[in-house]
Amino acid sequence: MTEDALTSSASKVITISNRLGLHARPAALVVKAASAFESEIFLIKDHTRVNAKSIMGVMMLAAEFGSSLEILAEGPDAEKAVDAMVAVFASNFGEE
Amino acid sequence: MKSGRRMVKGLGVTGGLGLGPAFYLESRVPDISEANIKPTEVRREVQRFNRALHRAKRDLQAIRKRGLRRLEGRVLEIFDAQILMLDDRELYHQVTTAIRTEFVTAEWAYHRQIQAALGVLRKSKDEYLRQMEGDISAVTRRVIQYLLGFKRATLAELVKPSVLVAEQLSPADLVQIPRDKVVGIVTRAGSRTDHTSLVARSLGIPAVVGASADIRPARQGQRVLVDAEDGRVYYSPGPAELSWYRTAQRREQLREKQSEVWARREAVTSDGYRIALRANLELVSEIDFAQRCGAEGVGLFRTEFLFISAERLPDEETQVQAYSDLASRFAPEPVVLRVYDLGGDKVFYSHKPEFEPNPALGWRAVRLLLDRPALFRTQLRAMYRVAYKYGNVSILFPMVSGLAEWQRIVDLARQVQMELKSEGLSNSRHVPLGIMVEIPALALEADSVAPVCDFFSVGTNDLVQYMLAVDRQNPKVASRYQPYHPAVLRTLRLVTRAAHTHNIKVSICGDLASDLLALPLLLGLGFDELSTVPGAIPQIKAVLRDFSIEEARELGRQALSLKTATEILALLKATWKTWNRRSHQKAPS
Repeated sequence: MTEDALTSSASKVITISNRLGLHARPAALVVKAASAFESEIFLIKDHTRVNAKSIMGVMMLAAEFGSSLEILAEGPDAEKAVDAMVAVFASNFGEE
Repeated sequence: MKSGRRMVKGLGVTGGLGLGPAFYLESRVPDISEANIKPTEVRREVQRFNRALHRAKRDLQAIRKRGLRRLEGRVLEIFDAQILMLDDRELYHQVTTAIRTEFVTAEWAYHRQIQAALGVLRKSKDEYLRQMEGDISAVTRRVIQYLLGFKRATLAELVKPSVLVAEQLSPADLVQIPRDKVVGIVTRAGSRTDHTSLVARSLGIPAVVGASADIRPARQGQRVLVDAEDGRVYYSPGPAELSWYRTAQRREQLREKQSEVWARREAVTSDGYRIALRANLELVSEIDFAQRCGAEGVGLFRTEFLFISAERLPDEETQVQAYSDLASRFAPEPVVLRVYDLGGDKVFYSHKPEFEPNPALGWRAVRLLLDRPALFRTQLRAMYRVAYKYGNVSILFPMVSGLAEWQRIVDLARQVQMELKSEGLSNSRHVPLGIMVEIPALALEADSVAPVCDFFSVGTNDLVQYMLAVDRQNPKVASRYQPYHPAVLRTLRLVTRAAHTHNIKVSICGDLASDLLALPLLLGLGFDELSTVPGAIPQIKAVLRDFSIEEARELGRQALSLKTATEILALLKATWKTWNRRSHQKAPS
């Protein structure tokens, strides 16, 4: 593995589009998705940055409907991780 | 108005009926305060935390699995979220770091971390998201309960006579049960031999345990009738049940009056042979009841119960106080204090032993105490001090396996005596030290320990369990538990003979001692004393006069010659039938 691959990072800003916001059930889906990747993945809201693999952290964001989140991944599979996370949020977690 | 009338079945453990308003004991999260551990305890504390997480996770997985058929996917995913909270690496790292670097208890480190997280969440403007607090609290409660051992709302709120209804009663709850405020007990968990049953029996409270359905009353104070004969619980009982209850109650009052008369009798056979009838106790609150039943002292006081609700192990002074209470109220009758039988399923909250796959054969009783000499010494010091003061106290040691182990115990006791002597806290009184005979190996070498101890007390529950390799709590084999097995009788005879050869007294303190069918047999086998639940004493005194000691001895000889439990039971039943017929003919009009 090259040093480049180890240090590569990717990010994207998304909007919470399900009405109930990032509550316990969606938070579990986010954590499960994030845990599939080797990269470190963070969610950033306002000035708070949390580990996307920690459900307590994700829940603490209390990200309500319409709020903006930055997804930041650092590691060998950063690109793929960000794409996957974006897809999870875009699915609205199967909610309205 | 909804009547909430219904009936729930369970196991009746005490017999008798109880009617009263329901008092439902709910679980809650106890208050946690900051507490420190010693640097040497870090590893144990982290292990304790791991175990609590593991157990909580196992629970949630089981609940999720049960819910698979009934609940929709979205609800089940809430359980996934809860399980992920238990697996949260960041939270785990924060908690274990606090344990390792600040030397705080696992429950405090965990509680503090969760509170901090909840603080952030509560600031959210979104009402729906603030409700995540409930999800987090549900998980937290589970972990904390495992860390503390199940802890419940206080029984202090129980002010008028009620039927106590609870999913499960912890030993801590049980020790708090006020006898005069509880007319019946209903639990969801439990078997006939668990602690709830043990305490209910010893307090004489009608109890139904192991209920098969939801036991939660429609409301606090709903009228509940407990039928501990047939193991039924009636919520809002109808007129038929109530009239039947009143008839039974009248009959019960007559029987109680009769019992009071019997309780005051002397414990003698028809030809005047005297035996000692003592009480098995675990709570100081049972003293009055035991005395009303006519107990001549205490044959077995289980000290582990006295302190099981305490946050930490009691110090010497606390123990001295408790034992003094007991000794002074029974003096000059003897009181036998048994050292902690900790381990197995009886543990202090602050002193949970490692998980053991086979606790009955594990690290418990004197095995644990010999490995924890400070704990052992503190208890012995307290017992000796009370014994020196009141002169009616003996000390009993459970789970002794043989002479070598017994010598270690006696050595330790001697050191304690010397210590007290040098502190001016002793006198010349001899404090009898006894062995609880419950390990078959010791029973077989009873003749080698009898010369070096002061008395034997045979614990038949464990002795039979170990001899027959049957766990009474396991419903698949419980019916194979057979105290009338010929091998058991022969072993009992071996023990009484060894005792008498070496001129020491031998008593029996297991459930067999309160079995009226066994009474003449036990006397015939040579037991000098019986120690039973207090409630059984009046009836034992009553039937004791139906036979002579010589008849009992002859019965013992006959029973020993038989080769199966069936034959032995048939002999006992036939003999009783003859004696009953005889005493009815003799009975004055």
